[in-house]
Amino acid sequence: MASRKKVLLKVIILGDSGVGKTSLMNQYVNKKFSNQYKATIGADFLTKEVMVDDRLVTMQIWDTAGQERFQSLGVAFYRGADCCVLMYDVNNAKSFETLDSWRDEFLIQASPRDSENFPFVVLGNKIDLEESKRMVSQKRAMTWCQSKGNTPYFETSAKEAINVEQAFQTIAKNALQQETEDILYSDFPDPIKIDSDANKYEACGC
Amino acid sequence: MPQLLEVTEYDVIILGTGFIESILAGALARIGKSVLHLDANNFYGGNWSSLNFKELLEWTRSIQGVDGAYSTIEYEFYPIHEQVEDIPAMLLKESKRYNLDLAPKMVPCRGELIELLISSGVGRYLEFKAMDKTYIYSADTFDKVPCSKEDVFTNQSISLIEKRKLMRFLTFALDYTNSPDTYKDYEEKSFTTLLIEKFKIDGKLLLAVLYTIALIRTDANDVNTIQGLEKTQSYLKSLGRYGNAAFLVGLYGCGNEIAQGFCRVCAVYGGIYMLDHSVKHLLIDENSNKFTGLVDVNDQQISSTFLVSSIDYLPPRFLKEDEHWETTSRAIVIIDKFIHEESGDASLTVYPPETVKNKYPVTVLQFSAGTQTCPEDRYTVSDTKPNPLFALFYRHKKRVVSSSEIPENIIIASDPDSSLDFEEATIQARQYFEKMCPGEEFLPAGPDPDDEDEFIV
Repeated sequence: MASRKKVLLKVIILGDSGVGKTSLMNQYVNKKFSNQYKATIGADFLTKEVMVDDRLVTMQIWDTAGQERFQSLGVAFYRGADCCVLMYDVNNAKSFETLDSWRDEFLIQASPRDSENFPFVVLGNKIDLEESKRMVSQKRAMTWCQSKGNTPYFETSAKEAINVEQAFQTIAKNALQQETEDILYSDFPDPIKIDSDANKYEACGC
Repeated sequence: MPQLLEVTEYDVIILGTGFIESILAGALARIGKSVLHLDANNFYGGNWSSLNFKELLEWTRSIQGVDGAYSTIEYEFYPIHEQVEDIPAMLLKESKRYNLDLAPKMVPCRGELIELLISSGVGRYLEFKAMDKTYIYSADTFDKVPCSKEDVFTNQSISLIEKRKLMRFLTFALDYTNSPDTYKDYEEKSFTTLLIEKFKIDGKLLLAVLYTIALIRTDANDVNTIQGLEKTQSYLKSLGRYGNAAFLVGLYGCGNEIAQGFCRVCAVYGGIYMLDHSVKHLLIDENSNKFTGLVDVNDQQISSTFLVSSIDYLPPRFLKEDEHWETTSRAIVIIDKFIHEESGDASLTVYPPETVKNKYPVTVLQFSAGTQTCPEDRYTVSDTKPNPLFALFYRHKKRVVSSSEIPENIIIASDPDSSLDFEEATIQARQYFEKMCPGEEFLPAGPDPDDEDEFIV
C-alpha cells in the first residue's frame, strides 16, 4: 500500500426523515438511545476509531442534520463520501420505496469516479417493533439489494443495539477499500485543512 | 401534492442562501432562534454560488433579460480548437467536474473569515488549496511577484538594489505602526507618493507593490498612505500560516462551499431548509411599515419577527437607482493549458491599469484540477490567453437599497462586492447579527458531538 498515514473515512447516512439515522449513529458511537423522537437537532457528525483488517481508521459519520426533509441537502454534504448508507424503517413501506431515489440522488450529487462499484450499505431499521407492524419483508429488501449489485443488507435496531456493530464493520471495511482506490487514482497533493491545530505556525511575514 | 410546513411561525425567515445570509442563518440558529431558510434556486449560494458547466449555461439563460444583479451577459464557444470537434458537447459531458464561482474570491490566511471558520467549527467541513503564485503583466510579459523573504531572494527578475528596497519596505510595512516617523509626513498623501519618495520604489516594482501586494483594485492615486499600509500589512500577516501563500481558495469553489458550511450549522441547530422554494410576496404592514410574514409558493402564510433577505427577493421599490451601483466586469474562461509555466493549483495574475487599455486593474484567478473546480487539462480563469474553449462575460452589480424605505425588521444581505476576499461581507454579517441579537455570542463553537451528554439538545 502506498500510504500508511492516518485514514479518515467519510460515511453518510441517507433515508427519509424518522427512519432512525441519528439514533443509529448515536447508538453506534455513544451506545445511547433516546426513545423520545426529536427531528434531528444538534447532530453534526460523530467520529469513531475502528480496526479494519489490522488497520486503525477514523470513521466520520455524517448526519443529514434534517436538511433531507424538504430535499435540500446541498452538494457539499455528499463530497468525498467513502461509503453511503441507505436506511429505511421496516415498518414503513414508503421509506423503503424511496431508497431508489436516495441512491440516485447520491450518485448524481456525489458523482463518484466509479459509480457502478461505489459502496452502498442498506439498513432496515426498527426491527424491535412487533412483527405485525412490519411492512417490508426481509425477502423484498434483499431482492432489491441483489438488484443493485449485491449491496450488503442488515436489519438493525438502534434501540436494542441489534446488528449495529456488524453493520458498521461492513461499512468501515467497504469505505476503506473505496478510499484506498481513490488515493491510487488521485494525483493531487493533500488539500489544506484549517483547524486549531494548524495555528501552530507563527506569522513570519517576510 | 406540495409538502407543507408544519410550523408557520419563526423567529427569523431567511431568503437566499448567499454568503451573508448563510452566516446569519448559522449564527441565529446557534443561539436558539428558530430559522426558516428558503432559496428559490435549486442550489445553495445565490449570487455567491459555484456552478457546474450545465448549471452555468442554465444560469446565463435564467438571468438573461431579468432586471437583477447582472447585465451584458454573453458567452461563446471556440470551435477552432484543433483536437476537439464539438466543444459544447465535450464541456457538457464533463460538466459535473466544474465548480465555477460566479464571484470568485479568496480567503486571506489571517483575517475575519478564517478566524470565524476556525472558531465556529465550519472550517471542519471545508478543504482548501494555497493560492501561492502571483504574476504581474507588463509589456507582453508576466513577471512572478516576490512576496515573502524567501521569494525576494530567489526571484531573478529584479535587481539586487530593488530587492533591498523591497525588503526595506516590506519589513517596515509589517510593523508600520511602530515607526510612525517613517510615514507621518505622508499621511495626507497618496500611498504611491510614499513608495516613490520614501522608499525609492518605482517602475515595475511599484506596480507590483500596489497591485499584487496591497492588491489595490481601483486607481492607486485614490489610495492614501494609511490605507495602502493597512492593505500591505494584512497581506504580509497572511503569509506563513499555511505555507508560503497569503490566500487560500476553496476546494470545489469558495463562496458556495463556505455558505453551505454555515447552513449546515443552522440545520444542526434546528434550522429548516427548503431549496427550490420561491416566495409569492412579502407581507408588510402599511401603518407600521413592519414586515410581518410572507406567502410562499404553496400559498402558505408564514410569519416571523425578522426577515433576512438577499436583494433578489425584495420588491423593486426598495432599490436605489442603478447609478449608485458598483459594477464589476467578470469573465469565466475555460482554457486548455496554464497561462504561466509553473502555476500549481491556483494562481493570481494582475494587469495593472493601462496595460491592456484598462482603467482599473484586471485580476485573473486561475484554477486547475487540483482545486476540484475543473477536469485535468482544463483551467478556469477570469481572463483569456492560451487556447480558450469557452468564455462567458457578464457585469456583476452590487445593488444598493434605499434604507429609508425598508422596514426596520428586514435585514438586507448585500450582493458580492468587487473585492477579492470575503472580509467585508464577513464583517457585515457579524454587524447584522449584533444588531438583531445584542449581547449574544456570534457563532461560538458547538459542543463536541462526540461528548454524549451534549449530543441530544
